[in-house]
Order: sequence, then C-alpha cells, then structure tokens
Amino acid sequence: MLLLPLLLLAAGATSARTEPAPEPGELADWLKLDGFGTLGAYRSNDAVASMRPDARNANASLRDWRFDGDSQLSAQLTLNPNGPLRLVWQVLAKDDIVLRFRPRTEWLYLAWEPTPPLSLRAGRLALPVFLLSETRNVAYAQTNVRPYSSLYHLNPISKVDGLGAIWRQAMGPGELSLDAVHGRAQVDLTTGRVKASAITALAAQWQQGRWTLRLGRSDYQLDAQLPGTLAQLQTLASGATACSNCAAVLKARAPSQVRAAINTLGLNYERGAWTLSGEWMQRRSDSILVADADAWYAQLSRRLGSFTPFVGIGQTRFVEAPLGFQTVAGAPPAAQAANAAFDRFLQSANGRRSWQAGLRWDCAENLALKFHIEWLRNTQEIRLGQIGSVSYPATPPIGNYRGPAWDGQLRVLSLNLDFVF
Amino acid sequence: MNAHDAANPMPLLHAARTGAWRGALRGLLLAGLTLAAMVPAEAQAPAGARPDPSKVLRVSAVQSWSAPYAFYRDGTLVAGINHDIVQTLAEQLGMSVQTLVLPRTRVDAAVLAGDVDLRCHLSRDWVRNPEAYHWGPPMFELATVLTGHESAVPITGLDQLHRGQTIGTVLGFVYPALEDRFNDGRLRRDDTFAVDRNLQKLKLIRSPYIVSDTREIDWHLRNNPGHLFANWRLPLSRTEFRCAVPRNGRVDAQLLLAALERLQASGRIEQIIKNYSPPQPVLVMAAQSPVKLLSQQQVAALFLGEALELPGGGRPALGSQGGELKHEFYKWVLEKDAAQVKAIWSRMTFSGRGRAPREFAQPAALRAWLLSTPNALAFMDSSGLDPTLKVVYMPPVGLP
Repeated sequence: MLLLPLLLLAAGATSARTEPAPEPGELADWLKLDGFGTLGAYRSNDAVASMRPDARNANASLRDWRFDGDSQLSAQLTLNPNGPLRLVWQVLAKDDIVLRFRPRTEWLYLAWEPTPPLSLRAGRLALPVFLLSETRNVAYAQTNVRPYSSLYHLNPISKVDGLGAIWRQAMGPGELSLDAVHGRAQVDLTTGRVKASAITALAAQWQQGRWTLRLGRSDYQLDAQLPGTLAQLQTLASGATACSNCAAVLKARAPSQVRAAINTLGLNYERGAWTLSGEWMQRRSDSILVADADAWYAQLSRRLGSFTPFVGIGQTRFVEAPLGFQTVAGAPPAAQAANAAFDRFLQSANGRRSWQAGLRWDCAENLALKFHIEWLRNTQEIRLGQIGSVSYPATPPIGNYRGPAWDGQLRVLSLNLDFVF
Repeated sequence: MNAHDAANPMPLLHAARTGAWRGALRGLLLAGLTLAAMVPAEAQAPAGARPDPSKVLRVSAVQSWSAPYAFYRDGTLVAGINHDIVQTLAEQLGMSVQTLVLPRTRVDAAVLAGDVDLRCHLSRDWVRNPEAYHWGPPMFELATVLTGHESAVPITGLDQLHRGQTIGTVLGFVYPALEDRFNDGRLRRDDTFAVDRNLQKLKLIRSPYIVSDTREIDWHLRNNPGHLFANWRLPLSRTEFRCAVPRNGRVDAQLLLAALERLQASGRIEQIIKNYSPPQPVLVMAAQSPVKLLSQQQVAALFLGEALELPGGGRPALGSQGGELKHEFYKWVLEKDAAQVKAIWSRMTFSGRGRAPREFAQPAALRAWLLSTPNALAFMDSSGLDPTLKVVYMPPVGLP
C-alpha cells in the first residue's frame, strides 16, 4: 500500500520543485482535503403515511420533526490533485437503512489522465445514470434540498466497483463529454441484498452556451437475494390464494435473476438569472422485482441576489403490465379479490406526483440555507401498502392494517443547512 | 518611481466610484491640474492659533502626486490614500498634520533642513540617501507597468520596442526598469510634469506608450470612460509603499514607527486603499509562459471547469487571490456570483473531475506559486504585478 502514494508523489514531482508554503486549508500541494455536509430537519404532516427524504433512510417522519433524513457529513481526500495520476477517496456518513451513520466509502478510485481530454479510472466510481449522479449527495451544489425522488429513488445503485473512462472534447461551439463505466455493485437491504454482477453505463453530454443536454443508458444484471419477498411469491405460487396460474406467471414475470435497463434524458438551460432543468427516465426489466416505470421532473429557479426561489414538479408512473392472476373455479369471492389485489400490488403501482417550492439562501460563501415544501400525491394506489420514500400500511388482504385510510396526499417541510469546506 | 500631480476636493472622493459624480470629478480634476502647477512650495499651516509644536506632525507631500494617492484643492492636500494614511496616523498619536506641498526636487532639501517629520509614498530605491531615514514597515505594493494606446502594437517585452521609441514619462521620475534604455538611446523619454497629463497624453497619441503606476492608470480609466488605452500591460517593476521618518525630524522616530506598525496591523490601510482604489483583477501567468492574450470566453471556460486545456496545450493549474478581488473577477469575467462558482466547483471537486482554483491570501505566496507551478494562471490585483509575470487577460477597468 505504501507503493501507491510513492508513485503518485513521483508523478507529481514535476510540480513539487520550489513550492510556496501551503495556504490555510491546503494540507500540501500533493494532498487536498475537501468536504461537504448537511444539517437537515424535516417533518411530514400525515398520520398514516410517512415520508423519508432518502429511500435508504432508516426512519421516516410521521407527523414528527426528524433530523436524520438529509443530515450528512462527507470528506474527500485527493492525493496528487494536480497531477495526471491521482487517488480520490470520499467517505460519507449519512443515515442508512443498514449502516445507519457509520462512515462508508462512497468513492475510492485511481484516476489517470494520459491527456487532458481523457480520464481513465479504476476503483469505486460514481454510476453516471442521472444529471446529478456524481454529486447526488452534495446538496450545496444543488438548488433544491435533494435530487427529485421521482427519478433518483428508482435507481438505488449510485456507485460501482469497476472501470471507467471520461472523455471531453470541444467540438465547434460546444463540448461533448462521454462517460462510460463498467463494474459491479451490491445494495444491502434489511430484508436481503441485491447483487449487480454486471453494470454498464454510458452517458453523453453536450454543453453549448446556456444549454446542457444529457443522454444516458445503463444496463444491469441483477441477482435479487431477498428471502422474505421470494418466500411470499412462493406462497402465491403454491396456490394459497386459490390462484390457478400464479406459479407459471411468477416463474415468467418474477425471476430473481433480473436484466434491467434505464434510459435517461436530461437538460439544463440557463438564461440570465433563470435556470430551467429537467430529467426524464424510463426503467425497463424482465422481472416485476424491478417494475417498469417512467418518471420525470422539471424545475425552474431564479437567482435574486443571494436568494434563489424555485418551483418544481415531478412524477413517477409504474407501467408494469398486469400479471393476470386467475382464481380456480369455485373459489370464494375473497380469493378472487385477493388475487386481484396481489396482482396490482406486484405491479408496484406506487406512482405519485410531487409539487415542490423552496428558497435557497446563500448566507455565506460556503453555506446555503434552504427552506422547502413538497406536496406528494399518490396517483395509482393508496390502499395496497408501500415501503420506500413514502410508506403507508397495507390493508387486507395484502396486510393487516385496519386504521384510518390514507387519502393519498402528504406534505413535507424541510429546512436544511448545506455547507462545503 | 512614482509621484502624482492632481487636485480634487475630498468630499467627492468616496463618491468617485459612482457614475453620478464622475463628470463633476473630471471637471474639478482638470481645474485642479491648472492650480497644481501654481501651488507655492510653502507650508500649509492650519488657520487660527499656532499649535503646540510638539503636537504637530510635519509631513511632506509632492506636487506631482496624483489620484488616487493624492487630491489637491487650491494647493492643499485634501484627500487620497497618502492623505488618509497620514491623517489616521496623526489621529492615533493625538497630533495635527502640517503638510508641506513641495516640488519633487525640493523634498530632499526640506528633509536636510530638518523641516520634515514624516515622508510617505516612498521606497528605499527612490531616495539618494536611504540611511537618512528610519524606515517604516511595507504597507502595500505598487506596480509600475508599460501600456499603450489602443492603436499601438501590443508588446510582451521591452526588446519589441523599436530603437528610439518615445515613452510617456513624468518629469523628474526615475524608472529603474527603463533607465538603461533611456540612457543609451534605445528609448526616449517624453516628459510631462504630472502623472495625469502623462496619462492623458496617450489619448492624444503624443506617446503611443506610457509608463505609470497601476492604481493611477485604473483610477484614470474609471474616470475617463472615453479613454483609448489598450487592453494589455507589461509589468516593469514592483515596490513597496513605505513611510519613513527623517533622522533629523523633531518627532520621536520610535513613536512614529510603532504607530505605523500598529496602523499596518490594524487593517485600516487596506480599507483606505479600498475607499479610493477598488480591486482591479488581472489574469497572470509566469512571464516565460508561451500563452499569449486570452479572450474573456477562454478565461471563463477555464475558470468554470469547462476547458481542460490551455490554448496551445497543457493542463492548467488555476489560482486566485482571495477577498473582494475574487468576487469582482467572478462577477465581471465569469458573470457568476461567488455562490454559483462555489457550487460549480463543488460539483467538479466531489465528482473528481477537477479542483477549484487554489486560493491565496497574500500576493507574494500567489506569485511564488505561479512561478513554481507549470501552466499556472491566476487572477490577482493589478498592484501585485511584477516583471516575473505576464498579463494574459484583463477585464475592462471600472465596469459598473
């Protein structure tokens, strides 16, 4: 392990001749420490449905103020930051369903730039799926308090262990950037683990004047190691609900070895103090475990001195085809209703629409205070139960909840202080 | 060496940066120039009863001092950086100031005669007998540059000037970086008796090139929107602004030197300079860099992380001087505010795609970094220029 820093130092030796003394904040010319963080508070207003800012948060707000949603602290160490060969290590501590606030390595990679337009990388890298994939946790760099959950929660894989290449080239009046990554990843859940044995992502970005346009495609080979979920599917397949074709349908529609793909289109347009940004995505797979979905958002903001008010709208819509569960002849009506409910449930019909408004205040050069309000409304189902960024209990026959029904709407207030250093 | 001749009333000074006052300032300035030529070289004692001599600080002022260092009205020094420094110092000591406005050539004689307790706007290189003074601490930097009319051929080195080329200068001023060339005829002086006239000469193309202090040029350009100055500068020399206490003065030298140290440490000097001469960013590289002048679009692309290579090749290392200067640069060159730039570089930094410009609090540290780092370019205040650096871009002076 000692060899790597020595190699990096040697690579940077050309710039290490008669260096001036480091200014405050600079560890040394060959070593740089940067960091970012958020102190966040949020509260949802509903007594039945709860909300968590990040789908991987352990807890959710159910009419209570919580401080563990967006709150985070991250440090990034860059070895030989000015050289063509450098090492980047980013550690993040943020509430996680498995790790809680234990720091974890977000990125750790070796980057080599044989020529300025080309950067080759190896190690733990950001998966370039969305516009904000590389900085989805760096809230200071965003106008909003957090990336739009309508898109970003549909892909919980944010990093891969593998190889990557970035190529940027000025072409005529604009610049083309290509970002390719291949590797593997795993996402740990409380109920199991999803292993991605192969992920390939390619993103092309065109920037010209006020416009930025981005196209992305990522392909996944997944192994859903979710014992609880698979056991429930097995129960259905066994005919427990008098389903005549569940076994065959689930075998065809719910394989645990999943092939999935995500296509994205993003744009950003700046004109004076105004900024319009938006993204669209399409997720498709061969298994209901990763339900087909379409999603988009659009946001408009305007800078007014140190204040930036913004409004946005986002939508997620699940488009998984019905499974077509059939009930054996002579079974009680309850069985037919149960099969219909399970069919709908397995389509993950948790689509929703979100309206947002907020204000960013750049109160100091490294500090941004943000006030944010979001209205969420489920547009597909509000009875079958859901666990995610929005969670609500399932009524029979999916679950046992018999309390007041959720009206499908939710309002969330957030107050965040973002900083970088 | 630099000095200044100008006249201007003090109350207008703080408004000098606002467009509303510029017309009035220019008119008064021109009137003052005429008056300055007639200023009698005599002491300007305050009216009324004669003050206690032990409480009077006798300070010399040079007639040819000019804005923003000195503003004269009816032959009296009424404002300017030099004026405010001395006044602040005297206030700290509970003394009153008696200013002796003299032609440059008579100041040394006045010192020899024991008529002066303090001289400011001075450098050890500018006096024949530096040992005759107790020297105060360096207070800030002064840069002397060569520049030209917009129709003159831009130059990046003095050797590019043809033999016998006329250079606009001020009578009695010594320009160490040019003296050899003046003496052997490679260059010719075209003297005027005042800095302002030297600057105005460029407009008349009496001299296609002139030499002057950067703050004087910047002040002139801010207050003369129709100027015809070219958008390039050739740094010639850098020196430190000091005050000095003649050994034969009647005020205790240690008392004055200690007060100067306190004044320097208090940060008041920076505030005084800022009142008259707002930061003027210039983008610089090491003098031997092959990079020539850059366009505003090229500079913006580099400092917003959109361009990864310098024109002609090479990975750029970006730097900046901190403070208000940085904000001016962001605002007028990048057309962003500090928070926007910080957000952009946060995205670059935390995606591992680049590092934000390295920031330096002290110009000396920035200069050392520029000289030791390949392909380094940084913006700094024009007063920090020196011959080891070249200006590759300068935004228009005095943008609103």
